[in-house]
Amino acid sequence: MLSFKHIQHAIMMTIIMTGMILGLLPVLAVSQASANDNKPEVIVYTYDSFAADWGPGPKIKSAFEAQCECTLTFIGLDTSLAVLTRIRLEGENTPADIILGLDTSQISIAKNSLNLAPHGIAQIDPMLDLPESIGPWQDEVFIPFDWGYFAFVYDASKHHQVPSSMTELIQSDHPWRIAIQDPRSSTPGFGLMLWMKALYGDQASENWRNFMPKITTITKGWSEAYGLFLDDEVDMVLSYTTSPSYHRVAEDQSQYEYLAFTEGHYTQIEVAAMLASTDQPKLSQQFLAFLLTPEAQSLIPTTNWMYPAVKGIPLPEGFEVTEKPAGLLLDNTMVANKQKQWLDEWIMAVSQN
Amino acid sequence: MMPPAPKLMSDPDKNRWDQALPRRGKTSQRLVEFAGGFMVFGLWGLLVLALFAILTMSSGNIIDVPAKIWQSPRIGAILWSAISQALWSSALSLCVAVPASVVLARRYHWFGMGALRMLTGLAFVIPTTVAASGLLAIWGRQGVFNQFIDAVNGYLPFIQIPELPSFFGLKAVILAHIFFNAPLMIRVFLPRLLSVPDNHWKLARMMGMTPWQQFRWIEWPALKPMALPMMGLVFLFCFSSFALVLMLGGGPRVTTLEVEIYAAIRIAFDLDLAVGLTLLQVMIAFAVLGVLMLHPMMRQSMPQAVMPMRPPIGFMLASSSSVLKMLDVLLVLGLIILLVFPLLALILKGLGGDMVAVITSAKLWRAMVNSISIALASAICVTGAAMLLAEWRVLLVFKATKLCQNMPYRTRTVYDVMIIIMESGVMVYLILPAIVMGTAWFILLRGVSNVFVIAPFLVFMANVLMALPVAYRLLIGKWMTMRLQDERLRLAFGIRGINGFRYLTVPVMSREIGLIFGMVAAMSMGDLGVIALFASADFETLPWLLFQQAGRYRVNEAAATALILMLTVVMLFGLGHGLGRWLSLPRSLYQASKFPNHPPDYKTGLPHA
Amino acid sequence: MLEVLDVKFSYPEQQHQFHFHLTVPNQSVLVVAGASGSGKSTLLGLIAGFLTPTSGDIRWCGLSLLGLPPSDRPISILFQNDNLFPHLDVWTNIALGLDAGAKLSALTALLIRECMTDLGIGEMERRAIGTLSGGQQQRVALVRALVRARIDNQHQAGMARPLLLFDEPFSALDPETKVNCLEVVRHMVKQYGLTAILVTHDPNDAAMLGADVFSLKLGA
Repeated sequence: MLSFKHIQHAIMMTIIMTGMILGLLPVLAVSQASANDNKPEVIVYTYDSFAADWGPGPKIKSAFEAQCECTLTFIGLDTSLAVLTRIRLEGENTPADIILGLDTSQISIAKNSLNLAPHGIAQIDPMLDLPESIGPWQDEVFIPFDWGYFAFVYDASKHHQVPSSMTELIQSDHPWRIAIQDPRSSTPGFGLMLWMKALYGDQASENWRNFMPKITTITKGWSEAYGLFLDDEVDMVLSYTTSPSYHRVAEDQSQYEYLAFTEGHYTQIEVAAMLASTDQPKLSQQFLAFLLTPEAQSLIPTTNWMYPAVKGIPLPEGFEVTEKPAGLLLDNTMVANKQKQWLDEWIMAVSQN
Repeated sequence: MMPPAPKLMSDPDKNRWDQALPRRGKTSQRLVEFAGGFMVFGLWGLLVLALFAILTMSSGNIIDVPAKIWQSPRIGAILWSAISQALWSSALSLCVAVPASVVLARRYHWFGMGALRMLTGLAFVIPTTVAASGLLAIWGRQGVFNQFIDAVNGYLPFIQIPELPSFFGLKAVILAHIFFNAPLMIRVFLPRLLSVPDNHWKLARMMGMTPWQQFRWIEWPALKPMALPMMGLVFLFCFSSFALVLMLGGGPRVTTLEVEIYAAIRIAFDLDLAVGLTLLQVMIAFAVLGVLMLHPMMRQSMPQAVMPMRPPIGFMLASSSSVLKMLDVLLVLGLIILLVFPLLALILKGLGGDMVAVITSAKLWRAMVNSISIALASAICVTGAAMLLAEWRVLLVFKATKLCQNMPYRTRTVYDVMIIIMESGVMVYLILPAIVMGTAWFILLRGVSNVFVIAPFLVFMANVLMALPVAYRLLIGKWMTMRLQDERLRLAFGIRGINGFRYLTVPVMSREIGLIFGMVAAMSMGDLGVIALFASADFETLPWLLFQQAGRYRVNEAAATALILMLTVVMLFGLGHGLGRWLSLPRSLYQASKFPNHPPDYKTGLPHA
Repeated sequence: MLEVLDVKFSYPEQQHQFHFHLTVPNQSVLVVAGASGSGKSTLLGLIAGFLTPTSGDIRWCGLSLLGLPPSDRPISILFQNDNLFPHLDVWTNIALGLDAGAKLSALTALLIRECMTDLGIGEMERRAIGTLSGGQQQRVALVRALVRARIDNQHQAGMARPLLLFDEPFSALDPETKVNCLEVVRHMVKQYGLTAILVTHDPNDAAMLGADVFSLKLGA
């Protein structure tokens, strides 16, 4: 006789058996990521929003695969600097071929800690449209693919009176709530630290201490901080001058603006390079070269919301409504030498109440 | 037909009597010992390997590294932050748990109390990321309270109620810790209150005790023995807290050693620092754990996870005054706000979010499959391992007591040493940071294969090793008692091996087995530890996905994901509970099918001819 | 004198209705005997105030006890076990019986000492309950009941509670200790003129006490 008890038993057994079968195959769930056996695979390690569905990754992938007879895979790790440490952790056996998403401040650090191969592309500089302050592009390992200025983004419909310089912001009486990123894990966070250094030099720690009451939280990466801003948990977030552009162009919202500082904004130029341990050197080089073509570069403004590195790429309407601000940039080598000391100082300044 | 005539014992050639004797049942015993020994060997081996890898990780001498840590100016601030946060969290959890337990015991029969009791069990397995999102939804800038304040402010003409201060920071971490740990304390305190003898309550009524006097003389003395040990345990949990501090800490000011170790490995890639911090963390945790274990109360099985079945009597109520009722209502409301509101907020936010978009995303299902498979695998593995270890432990005790009545004392210490080695091998994983173990093994294995293959396996191993001590402690108390009672019967009737397990052990331990299965599956499902090191867009678990989404561009997606994660965790926990119930169903050996048409003859038990 | 007049009671989950009707004269012991389940503990519970009868009345010296909480009734009740709080010492256990705040006047303290000596546990004020034997523990409970019975306005404002209810208190003791304890009860009742109801399953206890027996058969 089939009773409810038997049905209960049967259901439980089914669930448990399914669970056991599923449970004994954890590794299989992961191998979906592998490519076709025939085509060679180029693996790019980058930060999360680059590889995400709404980022540049998928479009660049389809554009490159159309011409390369290969599979391009973006592996999105969480923050930009995490890419660096991840490759260091993985050692020589790392599957990564290309590291993408650091900025120029980390070039020396990356060269010291990783084994990178020259990109082999001659005569980059004439193609490029970068801020003048950085001079001609001479690096043989890294290529730039986009750039922007850091800025604090706010909602102009909520706040009408806003500071017009960093000093004014730090010393303002208004209880601003600001989200920034950790310089140890995020390039914008690192950029802010360098920005303060560039503006205040030895007084930077002092200014950080004065700034802290307004800093609501320090997140690991850009995505978390920006999300808090959109969730209205904070008034302002450290982001880029081009973030409001996203809202204007893609979402048709024009209330977001950035604080334009009279002292200037720190510049970020994002770069990519090839690992020496890659198993696809030719294809990797091809990819780096592809990044500089108009085809790839034209995707940048509307997917990564940064300025393209190469000349002659048209910007969508509404992307740029004000003049570009003055750019600041510290010398690369100095950054590499001093970064550990500066980071320690930053942590000390920020931890004190 | 008559049964065949028995063999004659006296026939020396044809019937050797010792051949007719049943086997002495050593096989399964040996199997358990072998498997148990292998497992303990494996546990210690993995530990040693990890230590070896850690040593090779750091560049300098093992002596230089601690010195480097000591000189670092920040170490004082880190320790201060970790210890003060843990102290506040544990003390405040106690302050919440004691009144809550008293009220839950006193008003056992009130409407909704059963649900609250069940919730105290759930709060421990809710993933930290989910809880943090829920807390933010209540206490954050756009949270329920602030919105309420804004609404009220709209009506107030002159004064304005100030908004809640910013949520991130020490307050948030402490609140989150209370959210997680007060229910744990309640789960230990409430059974103790419910176990006070009935006559004591009657005496209290006879003596005319007021509620406060009753608390002073009966309720608090019942809780006091466990109060400090539980506070110590919660201190240990909070001191080693990782995901909550990472999400809600708001910056380097609020930190624990584990967060710093994570930062050292993941962010700075300063492995020397990581090693030094790990040593420090292990030393402190070991000291606290050691002191805790010395306490007689804690040497029994860990938090008694199963509530007593006996409902309390009505004489517990000290007075029927409405003032007391109001107080109790307020306390219950406070408890609900603390425990239930974050979960409610999550449900509402999740349902309001982009549920459709989330459910149809392949990313979610991949993460879900990853998480569930690892969770189920961990649960099966840990349940089996914990049972095996418990059985072996019992066998060791038997050997120590049975054999050594005739043997010199030295032989007994052999077994005692083995027991110590075994238990410490299991418990040591409680104090080792998962991140360090994960990194160490990864470094060992990275020459063998690449990260995509190793990472899931490492996540699985980390989950298993972190859950095994807890599962073992939950089992061993009752297992030992039961086996000590049973053993004579089993020997007398020759019930051995799988039969003993199936018919005698499992039905008695069914609730506990179900509980640890569900608990391990839920914990593993919601865990954010080793995955933080190895996640990539191709290998994600659901908590990692949520962690990523928590507060991103796609805020609504995050809320929906949190709801899905919570439902999955609850489902897994329920699966374990159901497993326990299924195991406890009475089973009879009576098989009606053997006697299809003829009912048995009640005199001889044999079927009719 | 205690009058239990036509008291009817049934437990919420059960259908069986208990029906009690008895009288206990002052300064005497009534032994209530009966098999398990006959309602002996139920009777005591009703008299003590833990249970409320569905009909009938319980009167002490003409005044109805119904509606009064256990602490307001002139009773002290002793159980078979768990009579004392094991985490407190002897003195505190006795003192709690008088005032739940355990604040006593000097006269009261003297009274307690006197009762303790009287019942044979004179020097044990600070002893922990766990160190006492079963018989000694029951004597501590008896002292507590005795003090509650003898307290009056001279010592501190308090109601004397001369009615003692014993719910099989000596069943768990060995025969010799049991005899001693019963002897103590007899001495208490005779010396101080108290009234007691002793519930037991042992029919010999009545003979020991020289008391009347009230047999309970399945609740009547």
